[in-house]
Amino acid sequence: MPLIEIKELSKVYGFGDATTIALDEISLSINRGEFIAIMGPSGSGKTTLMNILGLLDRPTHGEYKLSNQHVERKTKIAQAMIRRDNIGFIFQSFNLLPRLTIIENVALPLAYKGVYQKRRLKAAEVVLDQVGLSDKEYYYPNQLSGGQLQRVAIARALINDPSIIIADEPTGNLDSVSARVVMELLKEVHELGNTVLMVTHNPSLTRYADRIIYMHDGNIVYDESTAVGEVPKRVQKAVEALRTSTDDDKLADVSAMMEEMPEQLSIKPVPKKSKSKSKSKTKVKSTRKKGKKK
Amino acid sequence: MILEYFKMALASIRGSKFRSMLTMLGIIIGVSSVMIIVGLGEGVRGQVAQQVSEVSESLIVIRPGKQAPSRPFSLDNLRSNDSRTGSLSEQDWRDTEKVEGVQSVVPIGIVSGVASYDDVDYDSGTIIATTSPLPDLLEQPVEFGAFFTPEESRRQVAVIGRAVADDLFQEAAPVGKSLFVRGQRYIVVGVFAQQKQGTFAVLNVNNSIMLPYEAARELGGTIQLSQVYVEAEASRDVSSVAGNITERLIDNHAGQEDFTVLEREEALEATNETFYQLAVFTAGVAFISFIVGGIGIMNIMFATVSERTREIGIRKAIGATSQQILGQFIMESVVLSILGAMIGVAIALLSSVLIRVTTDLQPIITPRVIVLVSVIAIATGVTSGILPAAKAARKDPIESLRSQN
Repeated sequence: MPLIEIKELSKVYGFGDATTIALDEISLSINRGEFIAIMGPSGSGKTTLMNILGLLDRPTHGEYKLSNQHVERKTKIAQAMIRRDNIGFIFQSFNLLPRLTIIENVALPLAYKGVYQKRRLKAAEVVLDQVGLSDKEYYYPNQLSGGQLQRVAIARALINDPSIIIADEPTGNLDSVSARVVMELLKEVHELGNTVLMVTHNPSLTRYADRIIYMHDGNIVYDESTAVGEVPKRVQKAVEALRTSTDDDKLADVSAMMEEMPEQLSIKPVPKKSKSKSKSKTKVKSTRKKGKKK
Repeated sequence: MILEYFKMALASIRGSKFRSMLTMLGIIIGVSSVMIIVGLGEGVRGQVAQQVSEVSESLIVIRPGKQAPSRPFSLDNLRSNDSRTGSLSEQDWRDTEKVEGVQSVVPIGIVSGVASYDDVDYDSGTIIATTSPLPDLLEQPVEFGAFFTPEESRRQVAVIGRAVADDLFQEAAPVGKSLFVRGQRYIVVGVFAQQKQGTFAVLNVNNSIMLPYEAARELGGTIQLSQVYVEAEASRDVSSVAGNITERLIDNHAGQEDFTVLEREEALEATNETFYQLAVFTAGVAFISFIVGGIGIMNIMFATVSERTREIGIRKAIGATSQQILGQFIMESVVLSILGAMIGVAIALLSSVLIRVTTDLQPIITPRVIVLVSVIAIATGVTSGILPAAKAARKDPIESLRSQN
């Protein structure tokens, strides 16, 4: 029985002409103990998917079963409780509360569960020890480095023994060394039997995952299981292939369109555009000269 | 969970001490001012009650002008006491003596003029022309020397209050010294004992210079009868004597009742009525500061909520329900108002001690007032915390997490 099962899940923003389809009837099932990396360019819908899986957002259509329970239409209170008990979040920008100490930050989810402070702090001690920060318990977040903060965030995500850990670009704000430490820690967390769902832009991080999902325009393009430690060639290829449609390519498409039907667009064709470009270049030069004179 | 909210509230208040202090200011001012004013009112009432029991039961006071025993509060009433002098004449006083059941009558006549000693004028006193039974009637003992006797009614003597002795003569017992009123020399034959607090309601003896009525008349000028004190015979019913006096004086005044005959308690209450009404009015104004304080809390709480959008997002993401966020923020404004109320009570108690030490007033702050005012303060805090807290609870977690704050 899969831990997470979504069926024809859609998320639509806006109305009429401004409608954006963030997720387009996605179906996906995730088993307990998987480490999934979700990749894709900005706007591909991966963050929306994470928010819905993390019960921070609701789908427009479709089903979402967590531990064989429909959760997509639960009340906000019920969803908050599921978040509290079953989901651990790790954010790109750590999102620790600056006025609380490290140990209080880690213990905070238990506070909302109604656990007494003593027991809460004890539990926090245990997980802080797991992430190797037991000597920083009474520091404040602004006294720690980015990598340490992210380890604190991992500890906070672990404290409720969640069914799934959702990490949104966990290394996005870190230097490569700290990023490695954090990823190794996430790997350990996974090896302890936790289910991890990670969004990343960095293809090399997919080596930690045992399943890679590639999203584009609200659809899942690839969904592939790999051995841990391997960056699958298909992903690399996919990244390269999809990278070709950059902004420059889109501009090229537009200019091609304009060449085909200049009248309808009532914009003057390309040659004149190139002239204006050269003009602008000369302008730049002249300003430089002026700058030198000054 | 409430304990958790409380701890969170304390943590966030500790995090921004100065701002929390400003937030509480409205409540602090509201609590302390309401308590001080109510305390003053209570104090005056206590003093009046005490004074009523001290004044002889058979005392009747006649005052010029028609004065209803209790009148609705208005600015006109505050003025009217001063403008209604002059309707009592010496004839009224003489006639009152002839009324059945009257034992003695003492006029209180205001003599125009300023007393001086050693070429120093005494501006803050009142020169009063009166007769010899006054100390007995007011139960006001003479500390040094003696009050003038009926035989001395034409002699140029004076009896002065404690404050006059201290301020004009600058000695405790200036008996035998003389003071001048309009060039006439009066020998001080007596000094009153310090008048008991609260007795100012009838007549302020401390700053009075009392002259025998007949002697004062020889000064020339006018003597305005501001009050006439009557002592009824002990065996008589005071109310019926007062009624007889009223009838007699109405005859004198051609059928018009432009004076007031007051029995003991009426006299005192009428005097204090205005003060009491003023106190109620001021307390009402002070209550407005509660409203202002409440708005202050609401304002700051709204600012706090938008400033802590991200925090709210984080708390929601890790599993806080909207209700828990609501509770947390309401608790914050409750704690702020409780702290404000506590500081306000402390300030009020402190200032009431200061008032007792430095003035004649004796404010009484009862536990009942403390509880009542605190409850109002805390209710204000809760009410003004609800809207901002609801705003915090409604925030969408995703957008809150995206916020820079």
